[in-house]
Amino acid sequence: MSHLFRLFSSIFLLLLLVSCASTEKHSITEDAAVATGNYRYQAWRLDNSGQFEAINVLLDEADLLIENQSYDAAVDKIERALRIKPEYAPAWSRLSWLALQTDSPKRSVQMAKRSNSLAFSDPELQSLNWSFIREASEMLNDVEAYQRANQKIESLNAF
Amino acid sequence: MSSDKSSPRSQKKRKTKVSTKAKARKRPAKKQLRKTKARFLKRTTVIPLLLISLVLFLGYLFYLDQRITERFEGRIWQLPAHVYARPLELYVGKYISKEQIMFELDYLNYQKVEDLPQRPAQYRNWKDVFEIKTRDFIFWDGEEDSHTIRVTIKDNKVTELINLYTTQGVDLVRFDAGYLTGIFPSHSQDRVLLKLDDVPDIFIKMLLLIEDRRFFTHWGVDPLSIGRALLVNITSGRTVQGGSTLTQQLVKNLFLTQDKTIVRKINEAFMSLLLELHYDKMLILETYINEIYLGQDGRRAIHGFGLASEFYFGKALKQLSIDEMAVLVGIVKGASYYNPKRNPDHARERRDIVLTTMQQVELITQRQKEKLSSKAVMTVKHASSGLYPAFIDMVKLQLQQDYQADDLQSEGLRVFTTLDPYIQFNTEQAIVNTLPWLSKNEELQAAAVVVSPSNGDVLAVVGGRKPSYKGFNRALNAERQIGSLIKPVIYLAALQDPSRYTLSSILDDSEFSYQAPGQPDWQPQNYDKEYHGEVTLYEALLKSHNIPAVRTGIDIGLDNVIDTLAALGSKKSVSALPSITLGAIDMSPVEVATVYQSFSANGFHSPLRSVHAVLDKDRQPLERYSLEVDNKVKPEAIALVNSAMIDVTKYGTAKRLSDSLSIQVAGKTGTSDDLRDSWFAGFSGDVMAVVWTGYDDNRPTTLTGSSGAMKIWKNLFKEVAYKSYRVPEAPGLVRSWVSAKDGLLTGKDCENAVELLFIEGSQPQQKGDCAAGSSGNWFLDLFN
Repeated sequence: MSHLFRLFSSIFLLLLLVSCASTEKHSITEDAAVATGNYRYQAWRLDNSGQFEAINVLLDEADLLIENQSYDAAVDKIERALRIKPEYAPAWSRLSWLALQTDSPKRSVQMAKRSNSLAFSDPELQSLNWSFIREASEMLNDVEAYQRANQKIESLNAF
Repeated sequence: MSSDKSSPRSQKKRKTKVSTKAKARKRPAKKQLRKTKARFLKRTTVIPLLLISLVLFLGYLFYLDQRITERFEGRIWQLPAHVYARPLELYVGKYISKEQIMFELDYLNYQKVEDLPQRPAQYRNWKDVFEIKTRDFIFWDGEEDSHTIRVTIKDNKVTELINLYTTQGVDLVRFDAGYLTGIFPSHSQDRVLLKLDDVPDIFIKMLLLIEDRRFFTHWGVDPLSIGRALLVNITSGRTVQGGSTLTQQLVKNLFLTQDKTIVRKINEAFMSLLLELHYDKMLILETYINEIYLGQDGRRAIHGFGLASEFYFGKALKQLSIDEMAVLVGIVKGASYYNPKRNPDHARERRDIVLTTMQQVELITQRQKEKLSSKAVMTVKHASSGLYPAFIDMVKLQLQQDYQADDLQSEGLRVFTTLDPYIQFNTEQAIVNTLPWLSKNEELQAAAVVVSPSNGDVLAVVGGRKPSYKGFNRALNAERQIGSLIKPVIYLAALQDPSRYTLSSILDDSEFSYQAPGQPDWQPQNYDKEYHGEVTLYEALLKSHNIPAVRTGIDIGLDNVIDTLAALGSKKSVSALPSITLGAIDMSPVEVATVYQSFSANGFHSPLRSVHAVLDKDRQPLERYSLEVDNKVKPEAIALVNSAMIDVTKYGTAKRLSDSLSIQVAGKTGTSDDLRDSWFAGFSGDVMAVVWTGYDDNRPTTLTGSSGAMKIWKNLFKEVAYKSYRVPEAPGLVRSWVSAKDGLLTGKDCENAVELLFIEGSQPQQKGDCAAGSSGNWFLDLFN
């Protein structure tokens, strides 16, 4: 049940973010993303795809694997993407989310922190990462970290 | 002849017969008695003896049968683990030089052709363009199909990547992973198991035609073949043909010795019959195809056509041409004499015999035979197994956590490692080619570890000046004092408290003495044996002054330094002695690389890993080693240290690097007491490496960090590093112009002005004589 709750709350959060994200960054329309109900990172697809389309391809493959709940295989694809572009914050964020799905909250926190260290100019992604940290903190029964994450999310949303 | 009958000898024989008959007539009773005796004996001894023999024989057959079934029902072979390098991936925008792509294709045994590459593992090249047909390959995350691509490389970057047939752009291509080595059982047999379905029909027909034409009709032993071979051998006066069936050959290889004795032959025949009695012909054929000995690669014995195909031709059996298959079938007759690598002429002769035989039974046409026979025997110059022993040690170390040594040697695991063959090659070259310039003494040793900053993947390991030597692995096991490599750790510990320390903090570089109860005074000195008075932390790090580091370490607490070392990933147990502030800590190059990986990843530590994944013998995933990150130090403080380490390579002890490298790097030199150890640890945006030089017996060298290890590091980075290292932008970090001498705010154009990074709020407030907006010249300022 808690898995389902986490999944739905994450999907809701992501859809919210996708719908709020700047249209400049989108490579698909918001409507399409919402309509397909997908839980993909298309909001953060790289725009200069000519050079780094390889990353988009790998992350799309990861999304398909996630849909089939092949989380380990999805992690492999994302790690390949990160070998190509280690500073690509959304991929680290995706690993954080995947860690939550596989009950690895500590790993989720570290991946989210790594993503945030690279996403200083992207408050939306930072907010998403903090939501993962919040959820992981809940799993770890770390009240202090949970509250800190909550505050971060609020301040980022206000921003 | 009549004369013969009348000869004395024949007369004597006749006489004897006559005499015997006469005696028999004279003594009928005696004869009767003897007959009775014989009958009695026959009943009492011969028949039981025969029965006992029969029982023993049946028992022996039962024993042989047990041996056969035990082996066949259980694990037939101990399969060594096969270890692979990381696969090369190409995409538009990837940094890669033409030299590297040539190296990679050569390493993977791709064949250069003049025309469009038609078959997997072929390529052609002109100017900046490569047209390549890759091999298909099974990775831990799925199968990679063969691609036919055109790659254009300009300015060390892939600028175009298209499908040759459709001319459409290709996003990503992953090559097959190069074979590194095997982890062998004691007998060193190696094989790649094939299912019969993986074996081309034509190959099976060819094999049976040459080795055992009546395989599907005989019962394990073929009397006709034996008779024919006997006849041929008798007429030619020597052994030219064998009469053994495939089953007999298999039995000999699996269960018996190579001795040519009658007992072995009899055993072979019985066991062959038993084998055929128990098992299907197709299973026997499949086992034969995987068992047959086909050559030697150093200590490694090449068994089976699957491995032989890869070893001799660099391709899977199903990808071989008919003439190549004929070479392999030819080897069966004599793995050494017909070895196509060592004796290509013999192999060609034998191949032509195979092709002629094929033509005689119309498996191929006369024209085909002529065309195939005209081709040269081309084998790949395979990198012999057993290379990169230092890296393989590291692989074993990682795998030991999850696997027993026996499993590694016998379960046929496929181990996918992180080794980058091009970086490994260049690391070896940098050591081999630079050491003679550092010292004429051939005992001077070196070791290096190269790591991917972002994920801790170990890209290369060299354990000594002879990289392929399997002896002492200095990269893993030589624990030496790290000297000044500790200084960034001390300053990081200090800078994590910005209320007390910044890069512009003034440190005291004057005579220092440490008193501990019951111990003699400890008086550290600078390398130049001088004191420099008040220096900024930034300058102290750039010039690697010892006393400011000692004072800072003691001021913030030795435990704090030790904790910071641990936070950077070190698992070393270190005693809180003041000498640790001068790097009196014994660490191996791998341990140092663990710590410096954290610096290169801006504070995010990833445990070093040399293995990505392990598959079982059926190529099903067994184990994945996922990327891990851990952040226990303030990224802002790391940014300060890294910004100073960039300047170490521009203005500090490693300033000679900036003359040789076209990209921005960060690093630190390290020299231990009496020049016993020379270290350099540094990173670009894409590679991090630690290099050590010194003597095994710990005697002094004449080398400092910059005159020894750094030269090797520089020669390596010239070849393999493409991306500059830049301190990541982050909120909470500000830059200010300060004087490197007194740490006060200064104008950009003032003397000793340097732009330093500060954690927001910690930047100096006090202005120096030549403050911002001031030229430093009061007369000029009047007019300005």
